Amino acid sequence: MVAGKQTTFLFFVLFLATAIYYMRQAKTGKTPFVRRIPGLDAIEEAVGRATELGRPVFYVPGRTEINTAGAAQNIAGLEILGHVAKMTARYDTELRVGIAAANVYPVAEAIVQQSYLEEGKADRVKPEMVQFLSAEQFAFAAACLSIMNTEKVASVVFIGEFQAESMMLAEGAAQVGAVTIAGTARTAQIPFFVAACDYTLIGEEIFAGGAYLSRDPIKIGNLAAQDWGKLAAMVIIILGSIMATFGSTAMVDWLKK
Amino acid sequence: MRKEVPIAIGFIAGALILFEYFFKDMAPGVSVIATKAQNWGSIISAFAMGLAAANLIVIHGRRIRSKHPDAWMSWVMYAGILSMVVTGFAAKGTLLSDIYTFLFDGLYLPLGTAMFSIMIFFIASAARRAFRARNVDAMFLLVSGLLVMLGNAPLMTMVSPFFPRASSWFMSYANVAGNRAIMIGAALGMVLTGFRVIVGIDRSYFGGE
Repeated sequence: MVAGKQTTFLFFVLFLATAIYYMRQAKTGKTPFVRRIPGLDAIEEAVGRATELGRPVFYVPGRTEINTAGAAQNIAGLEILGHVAKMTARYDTELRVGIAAANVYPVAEAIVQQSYLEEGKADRVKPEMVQFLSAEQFAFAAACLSIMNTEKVASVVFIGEFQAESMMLAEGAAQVGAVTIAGTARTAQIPFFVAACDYTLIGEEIFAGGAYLSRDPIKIGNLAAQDWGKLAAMVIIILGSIMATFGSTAMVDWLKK
Repeated sequence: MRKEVPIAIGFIAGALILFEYFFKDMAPGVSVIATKAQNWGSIISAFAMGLAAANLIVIHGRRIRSKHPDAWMSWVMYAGILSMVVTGFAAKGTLLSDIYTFLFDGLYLPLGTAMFSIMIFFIASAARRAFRARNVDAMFLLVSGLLVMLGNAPLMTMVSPFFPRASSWFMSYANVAGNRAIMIGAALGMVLTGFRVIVGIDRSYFGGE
């Protein structure tokens, strides 16, 4: 095994084993408790508002490519897009999806088409619904601002990996009076979303989105494994801090193995 | 087959990259295969650019046909695509290549920089709303934000050493602790999302549940 990755591998295997255990438990009907996540609850409210006002919902599932380190965040964003698209199909509300990464575009289009198909509204799908805007960061931000202003969107949802454009998008949405729901795991962008948006999904909450909205027991089982992983991290941090305080480097040495 | 084949390809590629990450010392050849798999990913992504460009052309074509009030912008977009494609393929040193350099350096880059520069106004506008002490959380945000800002202002460092020290404490302890907590939670979420996609449990990216 590659030197310095033994402990990581051990944690990886244990973590996946816990996830598989909880998935099996969930299949037998023993689903863990999931706390309320206001940002995800607000999605229905946001789509409802757009329906009442007769204005579109604008969705951005992250800005980065799907084959980068941010892929998991984009997949989380795309998963939630499926739920939003189903709601807009159900309520006959207009949906606009802004795409910045070329390889996210066909995936997002397929998700929206499938969601409309499942709601029996396949004929309502239009090419304008999922639009590739630009791969250039600020050209994309400008295009999003333009859509939000010209179409007077009622609600916006930004979930995925974002970079510096996050501030422009969130504040631009707030300036048109839209209900804003945003989420990312990029710590540098979370403060921007917290400052400018009505609801913010922080870090891991975006990965819980799919499970929370679909109520899929297997995905909910995954959330329990995540909690055990966090608990293990907390124990290691506390033990490591105590040991380091008393001059022992055993924990640090073990983690470096 | 529409779903099974992509899932199988995803599983093989994902398992290969994972194996390479942990065990490349045991099987040196696996790194070459993993690199090839990643290159294939980039090549497939390049094909997606064609689809995305087609989407852009179709949507703007519909706008022009429907005589949308902003249809002139669609013409500008077509002109932009055409001029960059034509001049971009020109051989170096020719007039067309010079035009490409001019369009890139004289138009594309300054427009991007201009957009970036107006971000300060968005930050100021968001800060005005966020820094209202409506509740205890917002008050903490206001106080910590003010201290960090004052600690970084050269004038305040001359007034009192408290400001840079307070700013440094917030950035080195409170900020780092919060960031790491979020990062640990997010990393665990990413691992499980990746696992679900690789083994085909999560098929939401196909459009279904």
